[in-house]
Amino acid sequence: MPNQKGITMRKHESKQRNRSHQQPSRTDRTQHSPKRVDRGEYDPTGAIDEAPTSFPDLPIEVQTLVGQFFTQHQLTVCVRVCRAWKTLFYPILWRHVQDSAASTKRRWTPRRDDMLLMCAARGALRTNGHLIQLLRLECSDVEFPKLLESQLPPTLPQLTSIEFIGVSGTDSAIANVLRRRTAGWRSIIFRANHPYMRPRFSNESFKEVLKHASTLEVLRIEGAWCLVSKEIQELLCGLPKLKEFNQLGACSHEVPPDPWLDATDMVASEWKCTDLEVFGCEINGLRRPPKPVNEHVSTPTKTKAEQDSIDLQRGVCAQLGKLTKLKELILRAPAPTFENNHTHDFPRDTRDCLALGLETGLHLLVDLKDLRKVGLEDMDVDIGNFAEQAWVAHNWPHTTIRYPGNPEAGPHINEYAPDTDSEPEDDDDNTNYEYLDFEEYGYDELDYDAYDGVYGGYHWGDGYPDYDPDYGGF
Amino acid sequence: MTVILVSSDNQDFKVDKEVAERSILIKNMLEDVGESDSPIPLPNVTSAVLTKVIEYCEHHRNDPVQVPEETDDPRKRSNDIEEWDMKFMQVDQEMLFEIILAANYLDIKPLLDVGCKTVANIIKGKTPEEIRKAFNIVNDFTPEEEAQIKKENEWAEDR
Repeated sequence: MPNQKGITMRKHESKQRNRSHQQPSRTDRTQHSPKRVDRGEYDPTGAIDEAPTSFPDLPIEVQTLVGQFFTQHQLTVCVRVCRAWKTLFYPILWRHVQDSAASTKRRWTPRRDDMLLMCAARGALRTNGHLIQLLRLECSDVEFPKLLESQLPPTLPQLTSIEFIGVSGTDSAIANVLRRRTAGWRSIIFRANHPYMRPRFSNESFKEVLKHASTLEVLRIEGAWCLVSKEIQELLCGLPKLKEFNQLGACSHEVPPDPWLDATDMVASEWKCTDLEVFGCEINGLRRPPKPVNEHVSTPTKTKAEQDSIDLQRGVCAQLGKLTKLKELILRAPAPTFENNHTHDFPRDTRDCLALGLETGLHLLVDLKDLRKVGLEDMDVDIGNFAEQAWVAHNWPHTTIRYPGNPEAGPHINEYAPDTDSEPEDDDDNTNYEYLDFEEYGYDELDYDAYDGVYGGYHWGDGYPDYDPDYGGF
Repeated sequence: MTVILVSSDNQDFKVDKEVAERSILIKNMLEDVGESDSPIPLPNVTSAVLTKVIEYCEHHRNDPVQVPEETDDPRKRSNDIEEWDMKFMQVDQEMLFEIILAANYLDIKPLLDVGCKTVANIIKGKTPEEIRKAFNIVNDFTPEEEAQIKKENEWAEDR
């Protein structure tokens, strides 16, 4: 509709053409601008005989640069200024699509005021799908998969990252989304925000994900997997670009267990994902070897079963030890059974888990120089012992170790933590670790100068690492 | 060592080479030409604007070279302008845009950034109508179209 574009647009275009050229000619430019004198304006520079230079005179790339300094809200205002601005700012506004009021923390109740879903229902995703690079949707409505089905365009040529929260989708619904033609998935995040509203990430989705081996960097599925150990191994062996692999859900053991990696499979697998920076996983089938009676001397003679379990423990550590770029390591002991999951029925020290003692392979993790956060959920580990602590202090001086779900493990390590720094500020966080009781930690009581600063370098701050809203910016 | 820059209105500016080389355009020119005393013509920059640009380069002559960070998210903040830069940018709008154009032409990235941030800050908090007024832009939307656009983007509004 050229008539409606008006004079501004035409002036705008011609100026931009000239300006974006390395040596724009001033005289060309002035031909399209009304004389300044005609409008009776004062030119303080006294040098240019034309309309005052203003926003439309900037080359497109500079105008775009201005747009990058706007917040999403400012962009929604700017796109209403004129057609030229709409064209200019829509791609910036629609590049990262997430509800502005969306929470970055986990939430257990469905939202009722999700404006993005309302806009989606009006067709906004369909109209602008071609601009979206990152899409983050949060919804617990059972109708959600249907909405997606009808509102997401079949081709999303820019889309690389998707994050769904609380979607009660079926495997085929998820696969259907993943199957759409995109720029290639870089980041796939599914998070169940309610224990009973779990997206099912299973066989079909799994196959879709494997197709993106050349691009996929983030695969985080929380409380939503239905994969077996072999399939998880296949992912770790088949996705060489992965930087984050996290399968630990927010729901802990309250709901059917997260899928786990079988330790024996793990040792036998040739993992390709050596760029991993974040690894969160439950490891099963790891017999807990008897704890050394004395922390300096281990039992001299071992039964075959004991030695086998130690060997397996070491094998798992060796596999993890190859992930030399790792920054965060989150492990969880598998729930014994999910019907009967109470601490007193299953003393922690009898649960199978990675022991992380020097005898069981802790030293094989020595190459993880970049490790900053370690979360050991529900696990009874040997790091509390003196020799292991000394090893940790020496090899991981900047690493913060936390033991969600295991209050007994706390004092061994956290007595060195400065004040309450490592205490989560986020109330939600506590709800996810049912056994966690920070009152019992007794932080302030001891002050070991030698360890001052050892655990102080990092502020665990915003709850759990996987909830850092800025994370995943690669 | 000094170099001579010549503005579009034929005024000579004698500046230290180090200061002039804040402009990547000039830096490249000097490298191409090698040792030479010949003045460098800048036909796109008036003396008034060049004075300002040189003032900026003088002040920032010792700044480390900016390394552009490659991120997926192009979103940047506009509230981190240094105090000196903020004062420096307190000029009328025409001069502001002229400085931005010069910074773009001369390839002085930090100045371009500060300029763009300043423009972004001017736009901040204004309604579409106020923005149109500020930049002499004609509204070429029908009221229905504008309402439709507002509706489509409600998810991104502050609530």
